[in-house]
Amino acid sequence: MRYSISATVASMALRNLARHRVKTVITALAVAVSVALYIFMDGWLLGMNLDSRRNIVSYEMGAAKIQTKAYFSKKDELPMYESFTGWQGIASALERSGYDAAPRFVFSGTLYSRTGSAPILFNAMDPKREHRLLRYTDFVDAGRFPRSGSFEIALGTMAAEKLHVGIPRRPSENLWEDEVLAATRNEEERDFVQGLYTERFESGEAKMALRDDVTHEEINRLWDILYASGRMDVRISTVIDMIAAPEKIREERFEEDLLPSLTAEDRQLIQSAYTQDPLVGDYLLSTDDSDLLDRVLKAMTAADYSGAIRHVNQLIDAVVVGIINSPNPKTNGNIAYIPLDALQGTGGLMLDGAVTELLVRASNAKDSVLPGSFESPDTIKSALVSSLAEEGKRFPSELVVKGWEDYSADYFAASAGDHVSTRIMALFLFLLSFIGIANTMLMAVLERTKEIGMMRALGMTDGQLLFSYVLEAGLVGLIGASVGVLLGCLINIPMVHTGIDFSSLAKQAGGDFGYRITSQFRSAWNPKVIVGTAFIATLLSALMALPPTFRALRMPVTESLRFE
Amino acid sequence: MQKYNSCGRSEIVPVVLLCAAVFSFFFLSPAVVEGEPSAAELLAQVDDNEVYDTITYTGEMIIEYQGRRYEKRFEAVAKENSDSFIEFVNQEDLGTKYLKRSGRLYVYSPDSEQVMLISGHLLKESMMGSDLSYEDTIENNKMSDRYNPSLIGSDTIDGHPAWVLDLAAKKESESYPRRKFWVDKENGDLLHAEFYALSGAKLKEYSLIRADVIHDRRFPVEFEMRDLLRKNSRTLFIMHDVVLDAPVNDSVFSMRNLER
Repeated sequence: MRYSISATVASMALRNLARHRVKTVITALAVAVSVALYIFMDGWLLGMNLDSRRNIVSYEMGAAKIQTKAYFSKKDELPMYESFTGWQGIASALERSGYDAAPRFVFSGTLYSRTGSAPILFNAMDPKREHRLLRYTDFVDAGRFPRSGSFEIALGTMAAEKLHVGIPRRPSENLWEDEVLAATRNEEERDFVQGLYTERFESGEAKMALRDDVTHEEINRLWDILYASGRMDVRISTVIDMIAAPEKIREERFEEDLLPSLTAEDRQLIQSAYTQDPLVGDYLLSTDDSDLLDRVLKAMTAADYSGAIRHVNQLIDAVVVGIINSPNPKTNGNIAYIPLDALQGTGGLMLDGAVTELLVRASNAKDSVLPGSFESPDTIKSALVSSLAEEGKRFPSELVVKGWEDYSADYFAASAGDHVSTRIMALFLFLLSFIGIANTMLMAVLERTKEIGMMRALGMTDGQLLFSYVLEAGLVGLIGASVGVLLGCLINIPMVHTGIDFSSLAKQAGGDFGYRITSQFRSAWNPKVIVGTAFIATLLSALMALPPTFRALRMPVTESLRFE
Repeated sequence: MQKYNSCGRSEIVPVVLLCAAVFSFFFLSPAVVEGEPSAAELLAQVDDNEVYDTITYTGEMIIEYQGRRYEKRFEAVAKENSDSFIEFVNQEDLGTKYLKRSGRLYVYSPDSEQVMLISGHLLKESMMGSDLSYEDTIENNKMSDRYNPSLIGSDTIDGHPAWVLDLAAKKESESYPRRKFWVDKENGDLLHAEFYALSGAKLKEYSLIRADVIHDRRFPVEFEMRDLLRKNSRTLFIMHDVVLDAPVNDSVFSMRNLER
């Protein structure tokens, strides 16, 4: 009996949907648009985040880094003097435990080309180990990756364009004549270069564009011609940070700046190494005990006393041998890769085997999968400690293993900001569509006040009427949500497979806008959100019928029957 | 590598310093040296002329860079090699202040009304777009303490006969591991200097334009600097109203003064 009444009420709700077709369609469309947009935006954000995370791990740093604790705490300053030696033993221990390791010495400087200069972040690396661990080495757009033992550089695309190094893809006509055509040494080379470019007009300006069908061999030959002209010759201007205990510290600086920043123990240590001049009051270094000096330096750097840091000017002649253009914009910006072994002596950075970090990734890791528990910093450290213990060695106490998330603050900040703003936008859309539904239901209930009075007079209970209207609104929501899910999924299919080309936007941002995607921004499927959005949209629609129906039911039946 | 344990034991005590000063004053002055002076004597002469305890001056920088000319004026105070304070007074940079204290460089920008710490290696960067780095403007250490000089010959700079000194850094932590000095044979002025990187590449050139006699010493008050890595660039540095070795209140080198 109860079932038949419910079925009758449900069929009444369905008939009402059909009776008010226009209202049903418009309201359902509003819900559909909200649901589709939410699914699209959520999928897009998820896709960008997944791609970014994979690209950070595969192209930038692997799953984790090993650095000194002091370096990690000041990592944004790139403190060269907080480097460590003996990375080879740690790398071997990691390899025995199923990990690959790649050493790096990171430093900043200015790169000078024939035409200009740019601030650059330099990664001194071991080409073979780097190739094993990271994927950007496969994306050498032109030229090749640097070889060990040479002052060769692989440069990011954007820096190369800025410095007029490498092969220009779309130079202006003047630039092409001055820098490309002028590099040819004979008629044959001139004809060859002319054949590689076609003339185009862009925004009223004559531009030369490298042909799309140019072969790898032709690129290599063009590279050789430009290389011979000196276009790839560059100079690295940098400073080598060293720490040295100052011979003399002025009285005020010693007592006001240095001493208060030290621990009680270090204060005693420093005071034992310096003697105050009785006449001028300055403090003079009074020891040549290398062990004591070592401890003095450690205390000074731990206290961040910059008077102990010296900067030695260095200028290194190098040559650009390749241009990096990988799917991660960080590798294509103002960044350069140079062999670590070339920088060991006075012609380089006097490294003497020191590195600032050791990158770590599981040997059998898949690029499409984010680091799991095997690649967590704790697991890596435990494996390393065990592996070193087998050889009777200990994990150096000054080192620390940190996961890739600890180095990706810029990405997480951009992602969190977008996440919040997108959710707010989507919620705003939802709110708008549900205000629409509420309004439609209010009008519908008001229109049918007389009808409600009549049905109540005929014996229909308030609960049955409420159920009827909630079901009607819920059905509108369900139809809208279904259409929205269908629409959202249809939009998502090309977005997942092809994406949208945002390369010009990425270029304008200098390749550094937080996300690690260069050109194609792709979406991803998020089934939980798709189902959840449809469910919530239906539920909210149904709930929108409650206030106007309650209002109508509060009216006496006699008044409802007279309602116009 | 990056650790260089000490700068050697400091054995310089005030008595020795006093003796050295007296010795150099009476015996090392080129005016009294007959024949070829030693490299150490020439370098001591440069130190005696140029190293100060404190300095106060009004400065002017005329920067010519790639066909453009920029003029900047500032007021500067410095104490030995550790502290300095510079405030720009030309209209474009009015209120921009720099404070160097214990190797740290702070910049106050009137636009953002904020103090920023510039980390160590940025001391090597160009100061306000000039050919001088921050360290170049505040460097005030005795060359004879830091470099081993050798006399490598004679030359003529703008008609002035000069001794040529080659300076090799005593410690590998020296900012410029090698320098070359051209010292005036007549008055001991540092007429010309070249600054080299660790690799041996020449980085900068200094040329004296005018030296004034201040407190019985010849102090460079106008010179030209060229950063050889910058194309078509030179900076003329002029100092007015120079006061040397007068007492300077330490409160000048304070954060409060920077933010005021």
